[in-house]
Amino acid sequence: MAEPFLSLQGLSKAFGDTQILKDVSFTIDKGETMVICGPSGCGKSTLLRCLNGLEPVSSGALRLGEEQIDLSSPKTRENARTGTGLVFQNFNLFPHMSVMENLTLAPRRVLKLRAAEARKEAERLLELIGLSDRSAAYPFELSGGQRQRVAIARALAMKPQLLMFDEPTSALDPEKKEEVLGLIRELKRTEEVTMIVVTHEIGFGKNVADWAMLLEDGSIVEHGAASDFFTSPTSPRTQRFLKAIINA
Amino acid sequence: MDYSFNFGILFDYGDYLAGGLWYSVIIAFPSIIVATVLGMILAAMHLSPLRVLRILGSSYVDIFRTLPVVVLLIWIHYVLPILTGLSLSPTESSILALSMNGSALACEAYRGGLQAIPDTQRQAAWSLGLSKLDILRYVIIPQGFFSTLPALTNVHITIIKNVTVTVLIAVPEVMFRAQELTVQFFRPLELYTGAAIVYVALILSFTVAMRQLERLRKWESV
Repeated sequence: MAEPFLSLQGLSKAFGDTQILKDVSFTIDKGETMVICGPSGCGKSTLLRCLNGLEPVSSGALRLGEEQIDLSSPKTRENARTGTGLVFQNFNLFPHMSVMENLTLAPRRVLKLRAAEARKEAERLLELIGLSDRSAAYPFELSGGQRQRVAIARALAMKPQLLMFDEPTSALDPEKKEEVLGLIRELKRTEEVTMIVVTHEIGFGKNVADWAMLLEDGSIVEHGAASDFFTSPTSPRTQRFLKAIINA
Repeated sequence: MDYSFNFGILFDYGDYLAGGLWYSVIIAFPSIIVATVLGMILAAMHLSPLRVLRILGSSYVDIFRTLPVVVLLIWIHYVLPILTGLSLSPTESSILALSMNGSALACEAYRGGLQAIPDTQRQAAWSLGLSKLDILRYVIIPQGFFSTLPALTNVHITIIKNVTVTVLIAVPEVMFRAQELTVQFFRPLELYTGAAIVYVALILSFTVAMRQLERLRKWESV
């Protein structure tokens, strides 16, 4: 059998004496989507930040396609920044730049694309997110849903092997949520991006994700095919958790 | 109140009084430039990973922000020559004192302005793979410029106002001339009011110019 496209082995992280992530491992194939849920403080966001190379970790190895990244070494950890993309809960667009500048800054400075090439790719992405007419707008002129779509395009412009979303819809109202979730669904279909989404949107998890995971206190409680996870979870903890979300 | 007004003196000596503006400007302008640049360097020292630079930067700010400008000015003008044999003209001493005090104040303005930029901006830029230098150049400085501007304008205004203390070492700026004419003609109300008007006009035109700079900002933070 072929090696899985993405594999994470033994990721552990501590803040002082507190163990935030305990020996987390999983694999995902190319183009697949995994949903991670869990109570607040369980380490979901930290897990994404570690995969993105933003946080020092005590151990952990990430293989992304051909690339092998030792996350525990400060030197190689930074390589994860360009191989993976992260979409934040609060978008974190650059407020002083137009949508176009937000999308072209990193491709030009990091991927060393020429301005025209970067613009061309940005225009393609703007069409994909349905905001071709807003390329000159500043983030403050956009709605929350539009800002998040631009943030997704900004991450995509770096052509990441893995795209991660940290509760991408939790700062949005229900209508805008659908706008963003619809786009993520679209990305899976058309762009074949490998994705990890931290979210509590059960409908999205059921319909879009291939894999699902429940994280608690930095450990994996349950991990399996999304269809089983959301309809007939085996762990009582997962059952309780999903029930709480549905009743919320 | 049996004071008879005679604003006529401002017609006769108004241009002499306002002529003191030249000294206000040649003291304030270089001090503002030095404070703005040195303040930036001090703020950078504060953020430096090197402990020595951080300590040097914060000691400088602590000393020159707490030292009263009058004490600093008189010390530079009358004590420094005793210690070093180097004696400065009143104008030079004034520029030195206002620059040292102003740069400590400017450093704090820069620090406040940089802190106003949310840490998530740095994180987002770092996550995209940008280098530390590029983050500074494309993300922090363009936003920091505008978040620093209002506080920096206040520092500049303070420097201009502090020019009036140079009266103590006989720099012939507006305040000194008002005092000089008062002794001669005994018209304190008219002359000091005249001096006030001159300074208010100078500082108002400065703030109008700085406000134009603030208008260059086309974006809002989100």
